[in-house]
Amino acid sequence: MNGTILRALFEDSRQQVLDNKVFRLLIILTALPILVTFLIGFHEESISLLWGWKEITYQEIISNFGGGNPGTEELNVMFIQGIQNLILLVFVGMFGMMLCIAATAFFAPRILEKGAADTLFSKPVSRMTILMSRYFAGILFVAFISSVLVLGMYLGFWITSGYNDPGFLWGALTLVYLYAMMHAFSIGVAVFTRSSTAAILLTIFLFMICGGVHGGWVTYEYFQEQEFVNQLRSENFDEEEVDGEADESAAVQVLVGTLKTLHFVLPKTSEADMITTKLQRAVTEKAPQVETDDGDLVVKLEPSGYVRVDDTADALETTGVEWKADTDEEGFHGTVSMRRYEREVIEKKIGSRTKHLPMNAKDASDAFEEELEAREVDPDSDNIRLSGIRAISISWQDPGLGVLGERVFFHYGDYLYEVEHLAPSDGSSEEEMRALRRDFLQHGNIVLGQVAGMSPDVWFAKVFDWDAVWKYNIFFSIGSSLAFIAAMLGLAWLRLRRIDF
Amino acid sequence: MGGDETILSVRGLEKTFKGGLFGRKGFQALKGIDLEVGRGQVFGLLGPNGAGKTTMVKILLDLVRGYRGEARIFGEPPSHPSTRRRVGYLPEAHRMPNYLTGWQVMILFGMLAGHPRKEVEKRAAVILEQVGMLQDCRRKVREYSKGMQQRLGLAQAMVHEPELIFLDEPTDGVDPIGRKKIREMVIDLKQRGATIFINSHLLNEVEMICDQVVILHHGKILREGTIEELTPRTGTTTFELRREPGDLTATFGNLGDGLKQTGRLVEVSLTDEELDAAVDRLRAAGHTIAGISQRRLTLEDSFIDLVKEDRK
Repeated sequence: MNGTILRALFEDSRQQVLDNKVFRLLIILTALPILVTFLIGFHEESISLLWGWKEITYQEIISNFGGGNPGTEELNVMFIQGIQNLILLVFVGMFGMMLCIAATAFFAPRILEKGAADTLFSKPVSRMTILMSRYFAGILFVAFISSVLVLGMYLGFWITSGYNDPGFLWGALTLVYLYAMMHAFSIGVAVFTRSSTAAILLTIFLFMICGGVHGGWVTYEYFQEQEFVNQLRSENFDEEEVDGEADESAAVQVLVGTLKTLHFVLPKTSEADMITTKLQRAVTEKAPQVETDDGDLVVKLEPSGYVRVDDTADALETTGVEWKADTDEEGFHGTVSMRRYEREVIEKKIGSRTKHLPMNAKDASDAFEEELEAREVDPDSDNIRLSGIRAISISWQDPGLGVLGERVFFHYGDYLYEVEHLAPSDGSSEEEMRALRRDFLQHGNIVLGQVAGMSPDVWFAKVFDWDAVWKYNIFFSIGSSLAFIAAMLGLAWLRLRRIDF
Repeated sequence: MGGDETILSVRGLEKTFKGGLFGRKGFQALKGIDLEVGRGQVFGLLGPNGAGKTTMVKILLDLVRGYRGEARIFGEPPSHPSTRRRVGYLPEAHRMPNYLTGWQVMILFGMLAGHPRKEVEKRAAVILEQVGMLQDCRRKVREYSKGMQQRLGLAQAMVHEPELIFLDEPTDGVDPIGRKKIREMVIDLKQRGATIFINSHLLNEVEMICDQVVILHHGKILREGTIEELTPRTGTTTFELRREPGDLTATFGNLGDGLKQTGRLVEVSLTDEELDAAVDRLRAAGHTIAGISQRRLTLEDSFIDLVKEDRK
């Protein structure tokens, strides 16, 4: 086969895609979210329509929905990420994928129809080449749409909202990867049945089955792990019980066996978006500055303009994690530190009753305010939101020491957290202090509760990784999905070479 | 029975299509066919529906596999891609990609045969002009009438200048003017040295353009030969006289059988030897002969007779 034949097949695929009405509809549907990202700007305080024609503050939006003070300065990021997830995971990853399947499922059956097949397959081109050209025609179809969508939205958010997240671009690859699995199955069905309808229906059915099987398997594994963890905690470790199958009836064993088999055999469609997230992190993110073993807290980046000075693994709970202003000049230029303590139980008066409750952020911030007042420093208190929870900021200026300070208190799970920022008062302003707080604490840099209180999905997102055990391993996921694609195309080829047209 | 150079040959060709759930029920479409086609011939393959004509062509184009016996095109098995590069094919009831224009179809199939785009473009314009489709070639195939699609199908079969062209019902759906044009094109191709293999139900067309004909029935060859061989003379000779004669019974006497007179036309069954004597007697009797014709069986007559005989 020479380049001329390949060019002919590519051109034919392109024409087939461009002629497709569903493709045109998808292009229009794709343009809509892109347009939104260009027309609506998500800024720190407000949303602007048509580049400033109308400004709506987050406060107004939340009030309209009956909410109170948003208490956060990262709402723009939340909005943008919410829109990105909604478009990519729900509209495109689910409905868009089904539309793409419906739009391309006829590619293979059409060439196998009586009359069409005779002309095409009588040419000096192998059957497999023709089949693969149709497979890649579908990939081309989805690659184009998803690239336009993801790149368009990326540019829209960047230009209009100033939000630049290159990791979002991986979304296009995820969609192609997801579609490649489904389309391989569609091609297989098409070759065996030579029917567009069968190809569409069975592929959409498989898409739903894959999601269901994955959900069931993750839930099963989650409870197995929970059981394992519980037994470890109760120090009643027994290998047979941990295995979890000794007490199961034959029916349950068959069910579980079927679930596991299906999970390992079928393509891992539900893991595609998780792979994107991991890829995004692997490429665009550094190792987190702080990550607790229990998964309660992850601090992704250091404060801007600061460098980490401690190097102990348990610093968070002992000396505190500390960053120093990144300068060669002598003297004090500012520090940021972070600590956590177990929440001790204290006596609290609630009304006329006294209760024993774990200390919370309010208790700690009140105590700190009193401490500052005792030093004759006037504290300023503010409520902020941090990774979805309420936090309290106490800021002050100590003329005696010549520092500006801010300490943020929050509690999560069994721990109370403190983040303190100290800067020389002659070289810093309160605005600079607030800017550092926003970047370091509020713009998604701190993630709380990755593991604690997790659902099976969240648990799986945590354990699914590049270096996890094989069944939770990303390489295994990709490998087994690629094996599925190869198996489908291989079966299609075996069938195709035996067809008498 | 080929020409000087055999470019297509089959030996003991058998094909059984499997049917039923486990492939146990079968239908034998070809039952041992032997055939040779020489370069430059226009070869007609005739037979009623289900005779195995299309199956044989499809085997030769590698569209049907799993056959027994031997099939060769240009000395190579049909599965060899190089053979198909030199072959053009117009399938019966074909469907060209309807998302393409006529022009794009020509470019696609020309390039799929391995020819560079520029070369195909030049050739496509000429062929489309020949089949009368140049004006409409920028329209999508889905907008074409049946006849236009058929002409486009024929054009794509020739776009890469094949040495051997298979035409399966080439005039199907084409109007009389289009048919004549196709006949002329086939003759033109033959004159340029191409070999043409035609499957057709339209026996009078086959009779007009084919050099060699094979009649298939139930997967077997019933008869093979030239048109002359397949359409023997019936023995009936018709004399056209200048003037209306009187009763000629006495003139012919015991010469020939079944004398019939209709105005100036005289019809009588004669052997070749008797023909000269009949001419002499008519002239001796003072009649002027304006014309003599000897009636032959039509291909259709021969075909029907053969098939009926085989059914018995």
